[in-house]
Amino acid sequence: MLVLSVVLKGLIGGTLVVAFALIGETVRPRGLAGITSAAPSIAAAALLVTLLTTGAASARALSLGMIAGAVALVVWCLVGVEAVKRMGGARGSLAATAVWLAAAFALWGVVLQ
Amino acid sequence: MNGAAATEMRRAERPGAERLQVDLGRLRLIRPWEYAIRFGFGFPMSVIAAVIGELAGPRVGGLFLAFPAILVATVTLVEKKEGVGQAATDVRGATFGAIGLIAFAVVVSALVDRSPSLALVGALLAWIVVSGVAYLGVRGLLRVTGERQYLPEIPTSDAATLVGILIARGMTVATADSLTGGTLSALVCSVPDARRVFRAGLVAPIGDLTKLPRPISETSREVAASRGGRPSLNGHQVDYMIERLSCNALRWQSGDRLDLQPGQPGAAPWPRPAPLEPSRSVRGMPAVARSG
Repeated sequence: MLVLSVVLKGLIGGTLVVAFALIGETVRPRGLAGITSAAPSIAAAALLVTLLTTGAASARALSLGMIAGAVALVVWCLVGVEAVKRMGGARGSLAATAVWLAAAFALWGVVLQ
Repeated sequence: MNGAAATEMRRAERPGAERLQVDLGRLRLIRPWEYAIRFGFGFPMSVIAAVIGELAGPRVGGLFLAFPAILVATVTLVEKKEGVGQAATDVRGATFGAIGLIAFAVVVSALVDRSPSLALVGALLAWIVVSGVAYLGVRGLLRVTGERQYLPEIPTSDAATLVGILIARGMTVATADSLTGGTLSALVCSVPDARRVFRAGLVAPIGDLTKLPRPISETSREVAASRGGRPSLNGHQVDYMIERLSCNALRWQSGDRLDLQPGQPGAAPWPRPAPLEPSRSVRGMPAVARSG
């Protein structure tokens, strides 16, 4: 059951990622299309499967953690613009990801524990 | 002035403001491997977030529901297809999506105990509304405050690298621009010390190499030959001539040869100056450094 739910989250999450990416490809300007790059595709898949398998309490706990992760994602974006411009897409976004990890766990440690 | 002309004039006053539009035809441009890459990032990231949640608890798992793995993939793809400027713009747009993601999570946490289905639907709507309003709000604010985006989103730090290398080598550069409408020269000249290396620039209609004056390829070649092989433009002899560029992104590798077709203006071989530190990878536009 556990393996099934994990695989299901992966399949639905992957599909939603592609779906939102397709929406982003059709929309212009690029700034507007960028919104879909931060779409809740993985989150929606995880929450849906969690609700079906474990229940609302687990889903609520997931969403609380996600608030901290999303705030850290805003930080990632703010840092990522300059990082991408200076270091390129791959290296810049990976460098910004280090910032996300620091911000996310700082928020988790301060607010969620 | 009729309505259409007035609309075009207002649009011309905002050279950086691209219209909001949905173009379904762009879906035909997406290659199958792009679907695979995106699914290839989405599937494992969802699995990893789920496994982390099982091992460390749902709150930690929830953190990773906002992990930027998809953004990393998207930014890399956009840079490959449209250049680093558009990739940076994509990240800028993702900021609004991330703000909407906060709203998504808040709505779920607030409603999921009462009605799970309402929580999910409401959360998705909250993401759409908050992201969209934030984006349109900032866009409108920029319009009201009169912000103009003169140059496209290009990292000027790359031009600074080029200028720095030229200063260190005691070299000079000119530009012959048939693809960027002058952005190339503006980019180089945006560097404070550019006057020490930049000698001249020429702008031809975008995409029309035939409009580049013949003197660039003929007279200058003759001049270059008589003066020991240095290209010149408008009487200015330089060490490097930056001519042909990638249209989508101002990217260059120092010392690389350009792939101009024989017979095109500027396609005649130039004597090649000493390459600019070929081991150093810099990002910008292809430079003309060809040997005869």
